[in-house]
Formats: sequence, structure tokens, C-alpha cells
Amino acid sequence: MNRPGPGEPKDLCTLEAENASLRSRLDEAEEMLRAIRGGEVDALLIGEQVYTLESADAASNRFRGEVIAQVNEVVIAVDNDFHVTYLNPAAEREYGIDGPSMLGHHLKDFYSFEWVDPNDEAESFVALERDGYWRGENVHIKSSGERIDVESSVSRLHDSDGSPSGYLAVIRDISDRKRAEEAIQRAHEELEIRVKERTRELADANARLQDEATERAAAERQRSELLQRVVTIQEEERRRISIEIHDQLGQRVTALRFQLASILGHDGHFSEVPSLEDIEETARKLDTEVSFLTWELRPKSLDDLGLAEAARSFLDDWSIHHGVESEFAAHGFGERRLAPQSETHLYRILQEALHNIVKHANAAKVTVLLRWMDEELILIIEDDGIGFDPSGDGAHRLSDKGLGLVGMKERAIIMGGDVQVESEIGSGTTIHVRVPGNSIESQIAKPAGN
Amino acid sequence: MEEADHKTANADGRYVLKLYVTGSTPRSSRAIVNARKLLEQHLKGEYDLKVVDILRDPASARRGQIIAAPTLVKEAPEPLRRFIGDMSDTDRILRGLEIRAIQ
Repeated sequence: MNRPGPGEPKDLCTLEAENASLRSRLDEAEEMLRAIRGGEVDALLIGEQVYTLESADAASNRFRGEVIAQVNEVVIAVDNDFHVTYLNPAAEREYGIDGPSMLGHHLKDFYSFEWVDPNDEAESFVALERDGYWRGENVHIKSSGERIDVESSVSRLHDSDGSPSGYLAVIRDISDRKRAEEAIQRAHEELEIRVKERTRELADANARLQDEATERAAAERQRSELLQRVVTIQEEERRRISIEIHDQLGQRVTALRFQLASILGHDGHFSEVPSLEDIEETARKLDTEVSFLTWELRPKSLDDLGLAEAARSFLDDWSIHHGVESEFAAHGFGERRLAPQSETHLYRILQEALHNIVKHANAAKVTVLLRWMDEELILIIEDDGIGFDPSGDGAHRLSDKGLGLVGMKERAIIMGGDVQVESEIGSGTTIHVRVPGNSIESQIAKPAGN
Repeated sequence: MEEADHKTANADGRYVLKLYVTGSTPRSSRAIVNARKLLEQHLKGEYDLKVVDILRDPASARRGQIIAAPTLVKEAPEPLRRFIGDMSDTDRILRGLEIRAIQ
């Protein structure tokens, strides 16, 4: 459209348009003046100088604005209905938004949030209304879906007349700190678990050591007691042999001495002077008893023939000597031999059992069985005597008599075995001795290939 | 240059507006919220609003011939219009934006 030149008359349309534009600008100017007069503006701008009306110090306001813009923490201001009225650059970076284009939107358009503790929400509102300030932690969920842990400091904002106008929040992303804290917490918990496990292991190990120490002490005590028992058994054997010598041999020697004294006329113990045949008979008995005692101490057959044959021989002689019928059986020996010490122990157990039978059982018959069974050696001595009550005083008395049953048990324990006694008053007694073969068998004497 | 700067009318007929405020004073805050609410209500999806803090960017305000804040400027479509205050007078702004006529 050609515009009229200077001095040229304008057409009516042009004049009307210019008039409307001027009227509009005049309206704007009047409106502006009215607004300024009415106090509806915060600041006036002349050139690039800003003059704030409530506080004439625009430079200070700008300085504060610059400071807030520079801080690394997110600063967000909202009105009472949570429409955002201010965002600093840190907020734009954190939530990935363009502040100038997004101001005025509701806060939920930038992020939503979750409370760490459901009670925090109510408490925060109470604190803001009461104190005008709340500080706490919660979780922000950005529009991208990313979750961040934040620490928020929220203050109540007020108009110049003191009425609440909104909230100002300073928000710090503490996700890294939270992750570090969680990692530390996890490490701490793992450490606690490991310490507990280690403590338990140490306690278990300690308990095991204590058990072992107790067992060792018990074993040591048992060994010591056994050694003591062995010594005591030996002393008992010596005592018994001493009694035997005194009762048997001593009597015979005294009788022989008296007989000789009578012949020589030195003493009058005998009404008739003994004949040489009488003396020869006494000497013969003496000889027999010396032989028996010597044999009883340790028969040569034990070394020559082994336990089974020695036991058989001893039982035969014992039977004749004491007038008690006997029966003997041995199985599974063949070439097997026991260690000499073990043969002696079993031999002594048999002797002790037979000795007890002579002293207490009043038996008519004795049966002895010696056999290998499943790598155990079993010795059974059975009599048909008066028996006793193993659970009562009889057993107690028996164990108290010399070393009797106790001695037998001690010998069995030394060999790693045990002794069981079955008896009933009036029904005889059976003694079971069981010892493991590996502890008593002679390694040297075992047949090749066994 | 200045002409090109404030005449940012776009070709697709969208409303282009700028709101000049003074930091986050209560009045400026109200102006932001009121303007946004009004535009969302009447021009949702058809406008671009940019908030300008004259304390931080006084040059932009000078180029826009702004002499007071808060001021809302409709830069497009023409004619250019200015509104001063906290944008609480909705009827006046709607008339000025000729939105009632559009509707």
C-alpha cells in the first residue's frame, strides 16, 4: 500500500486506522498511569535502570537474585496453591526444565514427591503454619521418572501485609550421600554379620577346645587312674601270692619242720613220731603247691602255646586242684596270637574269675569259652554257683572284695574292652569279657595276608 | 534488530506472550500464576509464555519498551498489547487479547 507523502492529504481509512492506534496507545498509557498510581506495579524501568517501588534498592534486589541464581542448591518459590513463581538455574538443571517458559505451572508438572515417613507430610504442614519453617528429607520423582533423594528447607512467604503468599524451598540433592550412607550401612551390617559369625565360630571353636580339653583331662585322669589301678592290681597279686605262700607253703614247711623236729626229739607236737613216708608225703605236697604257685604266676605254656592252650591247661589244673568240674572251648585262634601283655591280662582275668568262684560261688561246674568273633575276642566264664544280685549289695560286696571284679574290669579297660556280669541269686554267674582285636592282637605273630 | 526481537509473531497463529516481572516479589508471583492460569484456561496449547526477570535481564525489558513490572506483552498476533499489574483483572485481559471474540 502506498503511504501518502508529507503534505499529501490522507484518506479516511488511513486516518481512522491511525486514530484507532493512537486511541489504543493512549488507553495503554492511561492504564499504565492508573496502575502506577494505584500501586499495582513493583518496579519502573527507565532505560536499563530498574527502580523498585517497595524497596528502592533495586541493586540489592538484583544482587540477592544473582546470589540465588549462583547457588548450587535448587531454589523454588510457589504460591499458596503450589504454582511455581520462581526457579533458579540450579532448579532448571536439576529438573530439566526451562524456567521462563514454565513459571506459573503447578509444581506437580515438574516433579512429584514421596515422603520418607508418612507422618512427615502432616508434620511439615504443622511446622510451616506454626514456625514458618520446615526441614526434612523426601524423595522427588522427576517427569523423566528419575528418583532423587533430597533434603528440603521450606519457608513460608508472606505479602507486605503479612498474609501468607506461598513457600520458598531450598532443595539439595542428597542421592549420592544417601547411596554412600546406605553403602556404609550395608557394609556395617555385613560387618556386624561377619563379626557375629566370627564370634560364633570362635565361641564354637572355644567350646570344642574346652570339650577337647575336658575330654583330654578326663582321658588323662582315666589313664592316671588306670596306671594306679595297674600298680594296685600288681600289689594285690603280690599280696595274694604272699597269702598263698603263707597259707599253703608256709603251713607245709612248718609241718615238715615239726615232723623233722619230732624225729630228732626236739619237739612233742606229734603223739607219734612221723615216719619218713609222712615226711616224704609232706614234701611231695609242698612240691606240688610250689609248682602250682609258680605256674599260677605265669605258666610257661602261655609263652609257648598262647592264651587258648594256657587257659585250657590252667582250667584243667584248677579243676583238679579245687575239685570243680570244668569245660573249655576255644574257637577262631588258629595261628592268631595276642600281644604278650594282652595274653597276660586275659589270663589274669580268667584266674581272678576262677578265684572268685572258689571263694564265693560254691559252684559244681565251670565252663570257659574263648573265641574270636567279628574281630573281637570274647572270653566267657560261666558257673552254676549260688549267684548274686548284680544290682544289689552282693555286687557291691563283690567289687569290694580285694580287686575282684573291679580288677577284671580295669584290665579289660586297659585293653580297650569291657566286662559285663550276668548273675541271679541261685542261678550262677556269667562273666563276659569283650576286647577289640586291633588293640590286643600281635602284629608280629599275625599270619601273612591277614 | 530490536524490531525483530520483540516482534516475534509466529506464522502458525500461536499467541506469543512475555511477562516481565521483578524477581519473585509477591505481586510478580501473583502475576505469573494468574497469567498462567488464564492462558491455560482460555488458550491451552495455543500459546507460548516466557517470563522475564527485569532485574536479571533489563536489556530485554528495554528492547520491549517496558517501563513497569509486572507487564504482560502480547507480541503476536498483532496488534501488540500490554497489560500492567498482577493479572487478576481477567476480563480486562481477555478483552485486550480479543480472546472473547475468538471464542
